[in-house]
Amino acid sequence: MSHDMGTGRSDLESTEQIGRIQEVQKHFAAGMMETGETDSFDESDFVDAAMQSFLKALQPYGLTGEQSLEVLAAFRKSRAADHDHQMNATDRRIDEIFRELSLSRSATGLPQNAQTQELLRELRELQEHYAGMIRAAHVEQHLNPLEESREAIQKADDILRQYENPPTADSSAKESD
Amino acid sequence: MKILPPRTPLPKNPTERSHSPEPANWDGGYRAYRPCLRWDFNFSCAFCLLHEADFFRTGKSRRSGLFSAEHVKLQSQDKAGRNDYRNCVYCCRYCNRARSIHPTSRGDDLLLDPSKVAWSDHFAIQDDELQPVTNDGDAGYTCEAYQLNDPLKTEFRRARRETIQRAVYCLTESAANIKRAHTLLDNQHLDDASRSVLVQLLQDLEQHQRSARMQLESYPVVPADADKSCRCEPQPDLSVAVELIEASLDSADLTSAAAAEFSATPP
Repeated sequence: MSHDMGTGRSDLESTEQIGRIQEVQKHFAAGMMETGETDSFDESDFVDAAMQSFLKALQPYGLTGEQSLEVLAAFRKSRAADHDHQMNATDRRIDEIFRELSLSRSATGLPQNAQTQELLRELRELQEHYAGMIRAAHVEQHLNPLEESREAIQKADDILRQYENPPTADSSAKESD
Repeated sequence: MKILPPRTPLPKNPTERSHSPEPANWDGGYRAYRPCLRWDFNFSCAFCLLHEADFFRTGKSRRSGLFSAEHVKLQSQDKAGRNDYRNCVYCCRYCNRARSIHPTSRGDDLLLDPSKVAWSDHFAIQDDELQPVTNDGDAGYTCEAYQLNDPLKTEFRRARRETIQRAVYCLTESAANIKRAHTLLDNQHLDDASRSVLVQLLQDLEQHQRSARMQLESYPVVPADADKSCRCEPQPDLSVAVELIEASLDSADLTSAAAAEFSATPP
């Protein structure tokens, strides 16, 4: 098991974090299907959005679970405290909202009142917040390898230069002087 | 493959619609216009100009819920216009939600309609933000209503700009280095140790080239899941705005002047 030296956290915790995200998306999907809350979006789109924003966002280009963990680890490294704090706070609020929605649910589903609408609106915002955080992780994930490539290409340039302009006997002698 | 420019240029003309879909007069019928809206608005949000690829680099935004139809005249205030194609624009979820119930005017300031005005007349690109031009109340109100410079949006703009600039740099430089390595390897008098170093270097450079190309191609002008048909009869040419095509880069042609311009800013 690898260990993220930047935050002192382990991959195990990343796994738990992904588990939490997956749990949240299940809630979103179930909640949206149940309420049929489709004001601005296709219902199917919205349910899919919940699924895609969380799960697929972690697996672009067919990322494996292990690579997804790396994404989260990289993210944590750069924005550890803020990210964890936000994620925990977001999680807590989502739990609270689902609790409230569960309590108000009747046999016919959720009441179509202002309070429910407000809670659902907040859920959407929280989902976007999550999606934004995960997207930010992707940015780091894509930019970092390019930066590494850039450095490697510059090193290659130096090496090629040495072969193209090998030191002559004269210049070697001068250096030793 | 056509690749998006590091920064989407501000449209110099109002969005010209080439699509005219068959009316979809049922509840929520406007959703059927999605394929037409995607093509007419270049797979981009009409307001913040972010492209689908800025949100989804998998090339599949369909059913993501992150892009939808925005009604210029609010659905709640103009029920008749709900399914009017001309009242719909393609919009990212963030702009859609930000606008919420902002009315089409506030005092003397009007919400700008990208189908009627050219964005370049009202905004300027500064760093990764769309700034309203000085003393333009309409642009100021539009910027505020749609939160055009929400941190998430500026982050997406930055991500594209930096990724494309770095990827183009890596591609062009690695290509040049690969050529040099081949020239050196052609030397018959090269000793085995040097040859081995250069062969390894060549393999590494090719790997960097492949990964940079993959990064670059994750920003296609036309997404992989672009609709092949729509509600129009007859169906117009499925193409994006010439302005965007002219600003784009062909990933197969990285030796062009365009490529040099793409990587003009040191990554």
